[in-house]
Amino acid sequence: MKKWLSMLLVAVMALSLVSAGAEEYTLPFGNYDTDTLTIACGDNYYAAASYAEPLEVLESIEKTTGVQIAWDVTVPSQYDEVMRVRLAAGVDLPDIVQIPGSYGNKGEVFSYASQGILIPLEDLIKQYAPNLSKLIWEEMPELGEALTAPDGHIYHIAQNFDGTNKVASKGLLLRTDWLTALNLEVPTTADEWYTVLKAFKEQDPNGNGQADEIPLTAFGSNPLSEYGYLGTAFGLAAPVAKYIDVDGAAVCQYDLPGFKDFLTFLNKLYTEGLMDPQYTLGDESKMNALCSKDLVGCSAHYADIAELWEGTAKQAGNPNSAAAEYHMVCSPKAEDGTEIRLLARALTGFCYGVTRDCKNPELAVKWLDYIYANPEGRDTMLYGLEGLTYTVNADGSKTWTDFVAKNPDGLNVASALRSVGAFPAQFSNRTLDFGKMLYSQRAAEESEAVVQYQILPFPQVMGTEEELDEIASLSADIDTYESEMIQNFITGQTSLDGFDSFRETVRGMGGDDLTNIYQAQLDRYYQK
Amino acid sequence: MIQIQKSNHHAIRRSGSDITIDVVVWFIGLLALVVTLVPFLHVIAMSVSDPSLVSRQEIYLWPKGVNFDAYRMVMQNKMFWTNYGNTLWIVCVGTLVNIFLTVTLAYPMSRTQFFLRRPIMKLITFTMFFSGGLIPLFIIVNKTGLYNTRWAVILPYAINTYNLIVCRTFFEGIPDSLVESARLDGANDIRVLFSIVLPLSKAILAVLVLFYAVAHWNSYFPAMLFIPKTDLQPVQVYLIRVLIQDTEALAEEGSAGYSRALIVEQLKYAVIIVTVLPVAVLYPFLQKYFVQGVMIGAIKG
Amino acid sequence: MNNPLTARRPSVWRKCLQAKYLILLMLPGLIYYLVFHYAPMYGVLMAFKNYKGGTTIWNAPWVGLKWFQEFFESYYFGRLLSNTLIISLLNLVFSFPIPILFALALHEMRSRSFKRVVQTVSYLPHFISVVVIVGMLKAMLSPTDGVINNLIRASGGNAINFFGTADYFRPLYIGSDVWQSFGWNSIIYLAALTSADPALYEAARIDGANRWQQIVHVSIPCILPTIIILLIMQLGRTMSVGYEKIILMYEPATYEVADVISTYVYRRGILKGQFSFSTAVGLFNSVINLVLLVAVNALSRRVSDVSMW
Repeated sequence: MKKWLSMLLVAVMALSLVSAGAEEYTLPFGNYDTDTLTIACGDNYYAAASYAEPLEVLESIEKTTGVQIAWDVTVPSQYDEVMRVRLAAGVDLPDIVQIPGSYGNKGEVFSYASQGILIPLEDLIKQYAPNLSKLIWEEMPELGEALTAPDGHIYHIAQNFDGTNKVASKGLLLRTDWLTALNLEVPTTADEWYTVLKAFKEQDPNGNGQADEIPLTAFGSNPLSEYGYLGTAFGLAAPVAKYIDVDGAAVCQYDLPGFKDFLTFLNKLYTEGLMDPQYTLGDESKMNALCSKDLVGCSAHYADIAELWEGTAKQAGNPNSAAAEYHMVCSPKAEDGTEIRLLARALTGFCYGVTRDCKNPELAVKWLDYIYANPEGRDTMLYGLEGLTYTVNADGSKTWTDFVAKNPDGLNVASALRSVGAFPAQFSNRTLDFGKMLYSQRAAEESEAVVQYQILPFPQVMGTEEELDEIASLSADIDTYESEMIQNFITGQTSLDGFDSFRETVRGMGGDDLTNIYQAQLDRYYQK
Repeated sequence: MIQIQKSNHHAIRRSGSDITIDVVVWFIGLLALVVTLVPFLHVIAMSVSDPSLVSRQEIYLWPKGVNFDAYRMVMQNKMFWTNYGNTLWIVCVGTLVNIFLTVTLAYPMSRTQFFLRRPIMKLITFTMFFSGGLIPLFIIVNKTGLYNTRWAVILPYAINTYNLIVCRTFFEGIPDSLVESARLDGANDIRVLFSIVLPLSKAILAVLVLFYAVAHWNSYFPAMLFIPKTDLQPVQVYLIRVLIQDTEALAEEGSAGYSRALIVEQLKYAVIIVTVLPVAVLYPFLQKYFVQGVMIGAIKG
Repeated sequence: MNNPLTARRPSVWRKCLQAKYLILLMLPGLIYYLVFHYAPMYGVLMAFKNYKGGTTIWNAPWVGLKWFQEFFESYYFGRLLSNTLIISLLNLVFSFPIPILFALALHEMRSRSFKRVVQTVSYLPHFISVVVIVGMLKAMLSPTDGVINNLIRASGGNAINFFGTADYFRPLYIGSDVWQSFGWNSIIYLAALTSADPALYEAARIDGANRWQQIVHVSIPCILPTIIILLIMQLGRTMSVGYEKIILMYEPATYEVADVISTYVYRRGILKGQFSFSTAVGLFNSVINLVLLVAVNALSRRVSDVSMW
């Protein structure tokens, strides 16, 4: 209710703003010979084509906008560390900067803003960015909210996942051919899952005569992000993220009664050998290795990955390998009838802002407007260039060219696009149409059964500086303790009788203070 | 000299304990050989095997289904060679700078009668413990105009205090009488260093070359921080970029091409070979300076 | 010239003049330390401030000992400290002496070609990144499909989850460290052994010393100053157990023995841009390291005449 009201308010405000209105710019709005913007960001995910090299799509955008881009790029895995030092030193800042540590956590955005490193953009947007104004204040007010800082200013624009979130979701990928071989149905409750996993372990579905199957495994550093997809059977939102937003209340899922039951269930799986004896594999290459040995019964990932796991498993050479099939199945339902809730990926990813050293913020904002919100520029960024990466059909829809769809170097769609400079991770504003074209037909179809249960995750609220300091200081100990205890409960090193004292200890460490901070952030989010 | 020594060894009748030592030494040598060769063979085998077997982690010490795709992928890019050239430049120039500064500082620090020796050694040791961190260093690199030049990864790392102290300790082992007699002959300290001390210190110079060159060769973080310009970066930065390819994209998108996902695992190993080989061959060349008796020979000559 | 004043107490200028060549020699190195170590030293102030960038370090607000207090009051402070000290101690007991023994063994090798091969091969693991070494260990020791566990199962045992069991963490950490570095670290001792005077060996032999006695009475004394200096420096790093390898090796089940100060700071600081907190902990470590080094150095100067300064 509250949320609606606030959205309405935002919309009304936005309308009044828009009517004051940004005027449409004419292309090119820059002078190619003199106008340059420096952009610091993580480099292209397709490593063979650095943004710093001439790439067709990015070059064409330079021509259209009349703005040359000086790419100041760092290897993505090291970007945050490098840029934190550079921003802290505060000398020689780029015009536009990808904010370090901003993927999945907007903690640092407001921090840099309050240090004066990032400049407020809303007035510039109102004045110079007609498409962006329309997008964040009219078409997607939730995006506008996600971009607004606690002090009411807008300091950043962010990668927008909306389009792909509606198409693909993470979920449980299960060896359905093993089900068929063992005459089992797709499990829908915790008990049925137990039966299926037990059968995987004991009835040799891969047919090699050994009980070497690993019925269930996880590869992430936080095992709950995979095992957590079974948490729905105990009324938890999957994967079991620590905090969820239940009608405006910040709820710590670890404190819910279902969480203890969930751990008890996982403990049963572990002690009976139905779960990876390693608990979690720690990295994805190990996951691929086990799949390619035809050992893995189930784990959670994006639907697209099913094809990869399947392809490797088919070559394992076990009697049943050739039939290998991974399909996305829905998380189990709870016995008490609580509906299945799957947490979607957050709305926004990488964030970027304009720094105080930018000599021509007007140009920077226009450029961002063009590549992010202008339908023409946005589509060039996403799809690339007509003829090169796509062709337009009679009905106006697009089809990938062979270069993208059947890439001569064996690249998938995302990598093929990136090899010519399209679909740069940080700057993509993903539309639904694009999402449908990015993922394979099969992945999109399989995700459908799951996507309907998606709810929004805990919103990424920008924290104030005090909040950030407090969170950093509290969560260092609490996170350590919780991850330790959760593993001990699951592997049976600590008896589940100790669960209550575990939560008690966390409260003693300041667990409630942490919850209060998140609650305060949530309140701010809804009152905006 | 060596010859004489060898014959001397043989001239002495072997006692029981000598034979025990021989056996123990052989045993240690063989053990070291096996234990250290294993990881290396593993890496080589992984880098040239069939990617699908690599991804299954079924390769141990011997390659199966020989395949050089990973090498091709590492080296196909123009930038690889540009960056390789930068690395060579940085290693050569950097090591020269390192050796020069280390030796010229280590020598005065090794003269026990030098009145500034103790205060300066204390100042230097202090920096092993207290440093202002990267942020002020970044500002200095920026202010001195080194930013975005290859010197930015050389000058701020011109002396490694650990190496300096090792070098000084070695210099201290050189008999004072040698230095004194040269000084009586009228040579000043600079001449003594270059014409008496250094010729006696080939072993430690070899160690310094090795330590510094390898450190330059392996270093990447300063380059990322101080040299944003891609075509000035060393090859390590390029290789890290190649390595993370798709693995990060996988985490972000949950999508990666099937054949590429396989090869990414293998790339890691090809990258090691590509980077290790050039420095690994450095050692055998330097080894000849680790010969006992060089010093005395030089003194007598 | 023979001014009684200067004769009694030569002025600084005279001393400088006397040592002008030495001063000239050390000047470039000294300038290096001033520019790249002492000029940025003010960064240490971050430990007492709440620094987030944007302004100069000097202008950031003072917070006194807040970060130190937070660190000392951490739920895990005791555990972090003891784990750090234990790993350092194990390093001292295993990683430190093995290269010395190896260098002495190499020195005693009669076959020159065998010696050269062993020497060259043994230093190769140093070039393999920690990521790959840990990856190899994990593949070999995997409870599902690792070679070692396959052997254990074949001989009727139960698979062991090596990386998930606290008891195995330290042996694996130290063992792989020795494995990777003993050859490389022995180089320095080999270089020091070159300065052993062959005449001394000869004299020892004439005195009837067997090879064991030659090692004890000639070789070891020859590398002793190097050993002592490296030992002093090693002790001066007691608190600085690096995080790079541990974060690859540990998991929540082994935090109990594996979580050290640097990994804790890594999780809490570097990942979240907490420069001030990291600096404060670093400063705490440095102070302890320095105290240790000064103490050991004083002891060493008294006992062996070998000293850092």
